[in-house]
Formats: sequence, C-alpha cells, structure tokens
Amino acid sequence: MLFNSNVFLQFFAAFILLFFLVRRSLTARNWLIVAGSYLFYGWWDYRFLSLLFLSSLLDFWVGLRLEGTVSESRRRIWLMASLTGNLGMLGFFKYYGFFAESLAALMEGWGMRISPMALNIVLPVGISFYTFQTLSYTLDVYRRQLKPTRNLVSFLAYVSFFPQLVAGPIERASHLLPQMEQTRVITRAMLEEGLWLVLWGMFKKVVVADNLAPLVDLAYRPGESTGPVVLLGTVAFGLQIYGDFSGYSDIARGLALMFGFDIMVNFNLPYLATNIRDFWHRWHISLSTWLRDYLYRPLGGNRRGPGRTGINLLATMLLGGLWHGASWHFVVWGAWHGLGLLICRVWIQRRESRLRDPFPHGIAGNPQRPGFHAPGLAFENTEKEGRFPNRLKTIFSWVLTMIFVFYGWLLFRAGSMSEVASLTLAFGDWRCPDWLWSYAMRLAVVALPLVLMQIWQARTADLLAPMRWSVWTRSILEGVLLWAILVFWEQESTAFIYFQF
Amino acid sequence: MLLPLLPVVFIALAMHGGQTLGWFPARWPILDMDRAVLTYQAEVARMPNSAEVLLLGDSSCLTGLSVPDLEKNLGLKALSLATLSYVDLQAHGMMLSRWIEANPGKLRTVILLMHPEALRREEPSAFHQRFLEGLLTSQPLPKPEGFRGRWERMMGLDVFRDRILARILPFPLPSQYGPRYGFTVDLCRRLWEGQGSLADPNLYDRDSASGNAEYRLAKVLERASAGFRAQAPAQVRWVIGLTPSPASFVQPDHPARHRALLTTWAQWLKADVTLTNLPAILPDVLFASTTHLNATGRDLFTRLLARELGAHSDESASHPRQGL
Repeated sequence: MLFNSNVFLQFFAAFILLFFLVRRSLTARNWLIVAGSYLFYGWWDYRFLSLLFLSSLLDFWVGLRLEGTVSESRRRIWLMASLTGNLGMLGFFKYYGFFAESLAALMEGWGMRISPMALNIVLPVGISFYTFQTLSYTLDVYRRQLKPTRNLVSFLAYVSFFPQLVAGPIERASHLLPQMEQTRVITRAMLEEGLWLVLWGMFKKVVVADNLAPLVDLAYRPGESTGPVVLLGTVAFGLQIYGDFSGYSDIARGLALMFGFDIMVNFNLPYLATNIRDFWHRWHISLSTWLRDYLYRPLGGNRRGPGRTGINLLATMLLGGLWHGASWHFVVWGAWHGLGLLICRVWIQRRESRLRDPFPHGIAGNPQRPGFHAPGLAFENTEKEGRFPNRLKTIFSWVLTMIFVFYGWLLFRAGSMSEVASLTLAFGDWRCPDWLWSYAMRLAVVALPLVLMQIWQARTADLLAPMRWSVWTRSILEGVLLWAILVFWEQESTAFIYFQF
Repeated sequence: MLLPLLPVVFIALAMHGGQTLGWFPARWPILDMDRAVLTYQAEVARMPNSAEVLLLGDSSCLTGLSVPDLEKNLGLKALSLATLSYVDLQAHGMMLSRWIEANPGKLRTVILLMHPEALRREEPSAFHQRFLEGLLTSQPLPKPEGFRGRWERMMGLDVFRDRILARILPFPLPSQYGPRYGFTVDLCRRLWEGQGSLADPNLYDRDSASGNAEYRLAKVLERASAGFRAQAPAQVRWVIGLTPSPASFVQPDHPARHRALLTTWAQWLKADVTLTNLPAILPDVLFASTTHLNATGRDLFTRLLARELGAHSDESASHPRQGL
C-alpha cells in the first residue's frame, strides 16, 4: 500500500478510528498496530508476510536466549544465528541474482563458462529496512545495551509499525520498542505537528518528486543526452530523490506522531552540507548511524590508525552502497562516498592540527603571523585573515560538496556502469537542445517550493519552522499545500524510489 | 485540524469565480502530447490563415508529410489540421467548418489522408472526441468519470490545470518525442513551424510490432463520410488518399486491399480526386511505427504526394474550378 494512494486514505481513516477506540488498552492497541501493519504490507503481496513474521520471531527468540545465556561463546552463537537468518534472507532475496551473475561474468573472464540458476526472485518490499531494524535489536541485546522484551506483540508492532515499515527511518529498538510498551498520550500539538509533516511530506512526494521524475527520465538517456541536459537532469534527480525519500520519512514521522509515537528525524537539510561528512550527518540519518554503530565501529572505527580507518570507512560505505541495490553502480556510488569521506577526514584532520598549532613548522617558520600572542584566538585570527573571508570559504566548500554529491547521484541513477561512462562522457558535449529552456523552466517551477522551504528552515535553524507560525497562518500554508497535492494527485500512484531497496 | 480545509475551499471558490468572471487566461490544456496536438490544431482551426489547401486526417497525416515542403512543391499555401485517429470524421468535419468560418472564401482544396488502421475504427475514443469538440465549441472539456470527475470539477482543479498550470509548467513528451521535441510547449512551436505537421522520431521495430493488418472499412464510415463531405462549400475540391504501411507488417494482398478500401471510401465521400497511385507499402526502414513514417519516409512520401497532386492538377487543367 502506498501513502499516496486512494486505498491508503481509506485504510488510514479506518485505522485511526479503531486506534482511537482502543487507545487506552496497550495490548489491544499493539494488536491493532500489528494487524493494521500486516494488512498494509500484505496489500502489496501477502506471501511475504511470512518473511516479515519469521524475521521478527527469530530476533524475538534470539533476544530471549541471549538474555538467558551467560557464556560469551554461546551468546556469540545466538548472535550468529540471528545474523545468518536475517542476512541469509536478505542475501537470498536481494543479492542472489547479483552475485550469481557477477560470478558467472568473472568465471567467463577466466575462460570458464557457468550458467547460474535463474530463479527470478521477487524482492520483498522493505526487506532491507526491517532486516536492519530487527538486527539492531539483537545486536543491542547482545551488547547488553538493551533489555530484551518478553512481549511478542510489542515486538511484532515495533518491527512492523506501518508508517516506517517499508522505507524507514530504520528505528532502533532502544527508541521505539519502549514506546510500544507504554500507553501513549496524544496531544493537540502532536496532532498538529503530525498533520504538518504528513502534508509537507506528501507535497514533496506528489508535487515535487513525481513531477521531477519525467525530467530525469528525459535526461538519463545514455548516448543521446548532451552535457547541459545531463547536468540539469542530475540536479533534477538529486531533488527528486530527496523529495521522494524525505517526503516518505516526513509522512512516516507525521503518521507516527498522530498515533502518539516519536520516530527519528531522517533528513536534516542535506543539501546545505559543506563537506561530505556533514552530508552524511544530514542524509538518511537512520542508515548512516546504523552503519556507524553496527559496522564501522565494530570494524575498529578510527581506533586502529589512519590506514585501518580508511579501510573501515571504505568497507562501510561499499556495503552501504550495496544495501541500496544489487548492482555494481550502487557499489561504485558507495565507494565514491567512502572515498569522499576519507579525503574529507584527512583534510579536516590536517586543518584541525594546523588550527591547534598555528605554526606547525615552529614559530620560526612564521614569526610575523598574527595571533602569535593570543593562541586561544588563533582559530579566529587565521580564519579572518586568510586569503578568503569565511563566507566565501563556506560557499566554496558547499559548491564542491554539491558537485561531489550530485555526481554521486549520477552514479546512483545510471542503470549500469556503461551508462555511467556514457553519461559522464556527455559532459564533453555542450550542445543545447532547443527545448532546454522548457526543461529548466519545469525544474525551476517544481523545485522552487522545496528550495524556499529549505532556505527558511536553514535560516531559522528549525526543521519545523512553519509550526512557529500562528494557527491561522499555518493553516493557509497547509491549505495551499493540500490543494497543490490534489492538483497532482494521480489515479495511478507512483511508488516511492526507496521501496525498491 | 480542519482549518487547512478553509483555504482549500477558498481556492476552489476563487477558481470558479475567476473562471466565471473571466479573470483567467483562455483554456490551453496542453497537459500531454495528445492534448497538445488537439489543443493546438483546434486553436489554429479558428485562426485567420491564408492557406488554400487544407490537409485533414489522423496522426499518419500529421507525421507523414512535411507541409512546408509540400507547399514548395505545389506553389500553393497549405496548412495541416491533422490530429489523431482517436477522433472520427465528424470531429474532422468540425475542424473544417471552424476553419471555413474563420477563413471564408479561401479554401480551394481539402486533402484527406488517413491510415487504413483509422478507417476500421468503429467508435472514436470518447475522451479525445469530447475533448476536441469541447475545444471547438467552447464547451466544458471531458473529465474523469464518477466521483473523481465530480470532485475535480467541484474543487476547480480542472480550471487551474487547463488555464494556469499548462501555461507555466511544460509537460515532457513520451518515448522518442521527448529527446526530439522536448515538452508540450515546444511541440506546439514545432507544429507552428511545420504548419501543422511533425516528424515521428521513433524507429520501427519489426519484432515488437503488434496488431493485425486485416484492414477494412468500419460500417459507420459510410454515413460519416457523407456528413463530413457536407462541411465544405460545393466548389471545394476533395482529394483523398491512404497513407502507407510497413512492408513486413501487412499481408501479401495488402496493395490490392488498400486500393479497394480507397476506392470504396472515395465513392462514399464523393471525392473529386482519389490518390490511387500513392504507395500502399514502403520498406520498414522508412517507418516509425506500423502507421507512422519516420523523417526519411516522410520526405519521400511528401515528394510522392506532391507528384500525385501535381499530376491531378495537370489532368484537371481543362476544369479550372477543380485545379489545385
């Protein structure tokens, strides 16, 4: 079931009515969440409900076993059971075809012809999201950071909670599970904030992302498009995927809030990042923090020297890329960002060491340097009196970061590595088709509301800036958003991009 | 929680009020390719024009010839009001009568070109037919049926889409039309440059071609032809022809069938000239689809059509009324 479909509106109306009726009974409420969420998921394909249920059951059981086991080696076995079960399912459904084909291609390169068994496996919607969500529970229990729940219904509700089931945010058990085990108070403020988030998220999806999609399709025609078209198309895709995915996350947060649940912020103005590290602090936060806590740090993080840190970063981002899809261009996209993070890390470390010691080559190296007499102000002085003022440096960093991020989107959106090459080569051809103005016009008209909102949110340093307005003023804005959504509401809903992951 | 509904109601009222009071620009619903073609041609049909030769027909006529090239060959001002096979002869007749109203006494020749595929259609597409008729008669345009349609009308969404949105937001064209022509607004500009004609940028793929080539004349065509013929003054010369099909798509007896269809239809229409020497089939490489020629095919067909028309013009030299 898609949020932007007529059937979801009917489902939501029925669900909220029932939720209101059972809100005082914790057990009934959680049963309702499980039933509603399974209906929501099964609407797409009921056969995969068993997978969702099995995955939940496995981690619920492993959690209990981990609690009751003292021996570390036995605990490790239970953890392995969970990892094998969850990653096995994910690997089979998502990566079997990819690895089988890649192996066949590799063997063919060595002169051996093998025919991998073609299984035509259907990828269960949201499997990457709920697998990571259940794994985080087991890993936290294993690390003794979380006490396992003994309530199966609460756990099933935590894993399957429909607002965030198929495209995140990937919630941590330590955050959402306790909420499932408490009766929730729903205040007027929560309803108002929830409504705003749902409307703004829906606007980003239905009005912005869905109207940018045909622009991207038009530009991403390898071998046919020229530089200006690929450039604008890549900008369009960057905005489309942001509108689509952050729109989903906002709707998820808004719906959850209307039921009294708080789920995490997944995006924090990512296109205002001034370096790649900053970007990953703002983009798909639930995944980047998951990868940091459950992959990068267990690999050693930055504790084992610069060389190992680099390897850990690259490995984490490669797997992060592969998490998005079973294709080499996603791996390359992950590697691209891994490399960016690595360069960023080295650069920041050098800058910080320079700022800590304004004269890295000794005082003799630069005896006339300002700030010499006031080491505490060294940062301020050197920044102000550098060749460029701070503002220019920030703009320059932002432009560089965006070039990096948006070229990454080209890697992400291209269908294959040959398409990546072809689209990249298009930048050598700067002929403009005579419809380029129309292209730019549509891009500008559609993206303008999103850009303006980002600027407003950044200037006020408040993601919920419109909530600070008076009720009447905010209602006018919400009404306009709602009307715009109605204008572009399609009979045939367009799926969210991240559903395929 | 319900406060946001107030501005929605207000905007809906403003849309209806603005339309009633004439505050908004005229309708220009070029929201996709089909609607762009129909809207543009309906608009041109109501504009003054110096053309003496008018082409009418389905999309095989729209994309099958270059009007500027034809004009050069004929030495006469020409214009195409060809649209789509989804609309029937009655709608083409309405286009013709609107054009005659806007340009009284100018028309000398009507050339009607259709693909055999369009002639076997028993019923037009209700949406396209009502859409074109609505544009030509300034009546409301068709909306989705049922609750959705009523809801959209009530909320004034159609007013916004047809009068404002389509003017500020270009809509991308499908398939190869996208890279070639870009957006609906660019398509209209190209139609203007091509005097109502376009080239189909797609390439015919024999393996993925679908449909059957057992062409015949629909029963409703006989009566529709008589009604269509009555739309133009008696002194106007009527020329009819059929556009070609890909050689590999049709059956071996297609040329004979093609000629028989054309002859019968010409009788129903009481055509002055029947273009029987136009090719029934052409090599696949000249096609964009089973009914559309590609740019190369279009150039060839334009030359063949001009030659045919020239030949008939010579034949009728002794009948000045019927000269092209």
